[in-house]
Amino acid sequence: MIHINNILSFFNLHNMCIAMLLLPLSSALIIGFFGKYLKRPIIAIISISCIAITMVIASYFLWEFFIGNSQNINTTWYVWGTSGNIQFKFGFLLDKLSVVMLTMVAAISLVVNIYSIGYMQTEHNYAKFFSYVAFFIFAMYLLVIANNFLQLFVGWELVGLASYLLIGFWFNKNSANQAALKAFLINRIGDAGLLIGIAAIFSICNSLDYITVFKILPQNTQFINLICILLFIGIMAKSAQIPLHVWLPDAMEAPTPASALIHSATMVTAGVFLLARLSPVFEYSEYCLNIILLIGALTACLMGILATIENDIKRIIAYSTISQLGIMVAAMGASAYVAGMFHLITHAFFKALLFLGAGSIMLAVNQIQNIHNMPQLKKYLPITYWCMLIGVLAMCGFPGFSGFFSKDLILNSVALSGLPFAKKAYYLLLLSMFITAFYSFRLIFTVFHKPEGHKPEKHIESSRIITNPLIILSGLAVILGVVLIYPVLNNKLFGESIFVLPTHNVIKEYVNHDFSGVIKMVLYGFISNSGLCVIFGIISAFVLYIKKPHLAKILNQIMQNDFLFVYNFFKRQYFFNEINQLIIGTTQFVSRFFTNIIERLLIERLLINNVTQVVVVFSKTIQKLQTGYLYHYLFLMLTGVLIIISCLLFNIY
Amino acid sequence: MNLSVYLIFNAVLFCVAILGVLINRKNLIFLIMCIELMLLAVNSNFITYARLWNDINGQVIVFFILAVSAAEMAVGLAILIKLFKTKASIDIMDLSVLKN
Repeated sequence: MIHINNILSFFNLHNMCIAMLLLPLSSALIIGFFGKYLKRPIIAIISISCIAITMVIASYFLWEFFIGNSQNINTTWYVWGTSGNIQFKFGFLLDKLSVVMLTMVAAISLVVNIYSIGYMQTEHNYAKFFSYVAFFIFAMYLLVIANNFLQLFVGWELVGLASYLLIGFWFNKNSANQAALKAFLINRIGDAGLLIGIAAIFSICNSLDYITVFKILPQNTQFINLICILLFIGIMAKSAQIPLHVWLPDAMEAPTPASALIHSATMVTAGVFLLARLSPVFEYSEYCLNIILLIGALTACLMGILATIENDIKRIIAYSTISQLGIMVAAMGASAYVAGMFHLITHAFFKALLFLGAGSIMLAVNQIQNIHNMPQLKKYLPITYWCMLIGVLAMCGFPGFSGFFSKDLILNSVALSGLPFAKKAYYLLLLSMFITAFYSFRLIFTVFHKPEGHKPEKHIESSRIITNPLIILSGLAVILGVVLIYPVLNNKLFGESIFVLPTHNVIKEYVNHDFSGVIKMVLYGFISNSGLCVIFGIISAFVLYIKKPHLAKILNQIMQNDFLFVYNFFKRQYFFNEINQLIIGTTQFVSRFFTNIIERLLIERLLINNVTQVVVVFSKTIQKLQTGYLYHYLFLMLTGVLIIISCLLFNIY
Repeated sequence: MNLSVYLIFNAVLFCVAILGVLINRKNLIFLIMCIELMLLAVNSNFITYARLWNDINGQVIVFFILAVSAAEMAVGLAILIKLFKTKASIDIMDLSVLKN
């Protein structure tokens, strides 16, 4: 007899974690293998229901951890390999950090999935798209929920694979294939760093479990800097930090929902998540934190500048993503892990909103991506307009919106940080605030507010299945900051899962000295440095693109005529692609040298072929002695005997 | 008795035999005869030393050699006749078929 308690005990957290992984995977497999035979609504239902169930599970986790006061869960699912006395395990680590991240991923995935039903309506490979997305979600859960480095690495690689597949989704487009390859290859560089880092951790700690590593590794002061740098290389590739960022703008070849889900909200933030997850390690390497801070701030500033001169709507948002990721990474560098994660969450929602909004715009204008070629759209896309506006306000950190709280917190933390680069990073971040406001409003003004030109034929607002996700996301983009600011500041949101040394605890310092309530924070936001930067950015965009549009053109002209090098410097994205080309060219030259000179000539021809040649020539020569005539042999014998005899006779030995 | 006369005679006989093998490149019978001559030169050498040291063993060995060479010649000549029957030639050049 099955007792009700047995059924209830089946629904424990461990089994729910398994379900969380298996549901998207099975959805990916079913749609992937049988997608051809299924009708589109059924595909959509399978995909959405699987994600929705994981969303429910994630919300239950959230409930358990924040209201039910559940303990951290660290269990092993199964052992998939034993080598000596080392076991490679698959397991789950559920703590506040992973639970919050899981919920965020599930929520974004759900919204994007619903949106995709509308967006991919006309797409031929409908099933393939949903299969890939479900596979990506599985991989992302695997990464977030991992309790050891190996599982993390597996998830890390699988999200990379999903990203590759989705960038190359329109595989008959050459640029898409190139972009997919670029993303994959650049991520390989990072993966190499991450893998070496993990191997180094393994050789020091003899274990890959987070808990064990966090206990042992900080005692090893000799190698911790090196390991942190190696891990950070992996993070740089995945989270698109300078100089490994070049793949992300090109990744915009993916379908827009995939860009929203993978290349802005979830996958690219995996690196930031990893930084937070490994805070007990990074905290002990001040050297590495310094580098992280500087690279983050540089990325935030430099990539923001590129967004101001880009004309492709998706690429603008892509550059803004890189810039925001830079801000998060800088926060991690300043030991404000909580603030960085806070920005990760708010960013995920407003950036998904912006991407989905851009998708909605592209649907309305027949897939035009150049913002200058779009007609004036405010009248025709009212819902999209307001949602985009909210998203943009949140992104540039306008006081009161979600982005404001996280960004303000990060700026204050960086200002309070005691690291040597903190001052420089602070000014870089301030500059990036200004730039963010400028390019986001440039986008809004150019797309929605330009003087009405030609009459558009049929620009209509997208269907409800597309606008509803936008509305949900914009709601979250407004309130999330206010809702989360107190848990973040009280350290309720992430609790013990993030470790900060007492000397680095900038958040606590901020709370103790500068913070005095949300309302004051918002009001002060209008007159603080960051708030002034934002407002100044908005005003300058307003002047340049609404009030005096010819001024922008004149500026452009001056740049092109008189400062051609500077113009090219920005237009060609700081020559990063050229530098990479140079590196690739050098590598190719070296490898060609090795194949042609070392391998083909020296080894193959001189060593290997020559040995056989020598043997052949030698034996051909020797062969001539074997004439087969008796008198020849006799002659040789006689000669030999004569030589021996004469040696004996004349005492020559 | 002048020893060197005998020894020189033997050596000359042996050299003639070897030269016969070396120079003769045609006739198989000549070849066999030359080999026989070589054996005879060796025999003669044995007898010379047997007489010198008054040792009968040297002369006994000569008989052995004669017997063996007679047997060998019987086999050799039989092969020769058989060869001539099949190939209709006793030219050495014609017989070197194993090469190439």
